[in-house]
Amino acid sequence: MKAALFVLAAVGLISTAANAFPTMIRHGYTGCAACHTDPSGGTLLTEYGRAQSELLLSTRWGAAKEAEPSAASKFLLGAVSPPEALTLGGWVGAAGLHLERGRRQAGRRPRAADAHLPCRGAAPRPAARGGRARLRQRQVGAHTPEFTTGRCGDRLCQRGVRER
Amino acid sequence: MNTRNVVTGFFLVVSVVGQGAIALSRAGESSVTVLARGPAGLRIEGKSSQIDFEEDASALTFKVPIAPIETGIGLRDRHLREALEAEKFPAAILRVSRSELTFPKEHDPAEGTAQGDLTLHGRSRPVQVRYRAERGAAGVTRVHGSVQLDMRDFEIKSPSYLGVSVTPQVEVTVEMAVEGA
Repeated sequence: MKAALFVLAAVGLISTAANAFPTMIRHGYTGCAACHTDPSGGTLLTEYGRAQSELLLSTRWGAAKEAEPSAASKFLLGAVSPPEALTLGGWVGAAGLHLERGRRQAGRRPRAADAHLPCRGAAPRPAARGGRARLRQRQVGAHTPEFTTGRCGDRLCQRGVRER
Repeated sequence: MNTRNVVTGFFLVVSVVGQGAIALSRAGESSVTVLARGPAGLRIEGKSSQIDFEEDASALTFKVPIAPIETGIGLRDRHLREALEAEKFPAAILRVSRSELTFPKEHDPAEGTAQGDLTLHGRSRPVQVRYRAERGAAGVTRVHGSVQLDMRDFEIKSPSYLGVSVTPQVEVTVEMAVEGA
């Protein structure tokens, strides 16, 4: 009993934050690959993931409870339908790096801004020299309904957190 | 121990106590849980609290209406009803012969595996039912039963949506309180 309490206390007090949506776990999505082309999650969503994003994470103003996701959940608002084996997506990220060197402010260096088509992701990645944030991502992704994923380019580096 | 850990621990304790209280308050309710699995650890749980129970001299019959089963997403509920053709076949019916069952006695729970006949999607197939029954106060028997089934046996097409399909193997669990039996 003491051991069980100790383990419970350890889990509760020593645990670190999970980089995941607890709301998605509540809906039964314990893994990332159901909705993301990257099995470790983040960025480019599959068609199914786009639909779940609208169904579970967005406020569906006026939509019936059992309605299909709107065109807003589709690539380019449904104007173009890519082949099933190809997942396309795009987003814009923005970030800045604020540095101070002594009393002199180096200034804000907004970096980011990337749109992707069909490239995957981009994220600022603090570099060791010069305090400059650099975008270090170029990926092309495709996936099949069987969840085999093919990519090329740099490793996904989300918001500069992940390292290659 | 920093403030964040204390706050985390506090909420953990509150949530555990809260869930325990909710579980106790629902101890007398019936529930049906349908568990289907998909890729990447996807778990789809359909829940309902509606179970009809009938008994006669030879068998016990459990009837679960399909329409009230909720999976947490309205659209998915609709897909579930469409896959099971709920308008045409509105309920799943499990019939288990009394001779297959061991009945609990006072302070002597019964458990085991019995063969039952499950009618789903208009098709009837024999299934193995694992069960545990415990006689409680005032002649009420708490019953826990589970059935593993394969949707293909009942000519149900595995639901698939935007490239994500669930596996045809499904687990159905029932908790209920039965008077008499």
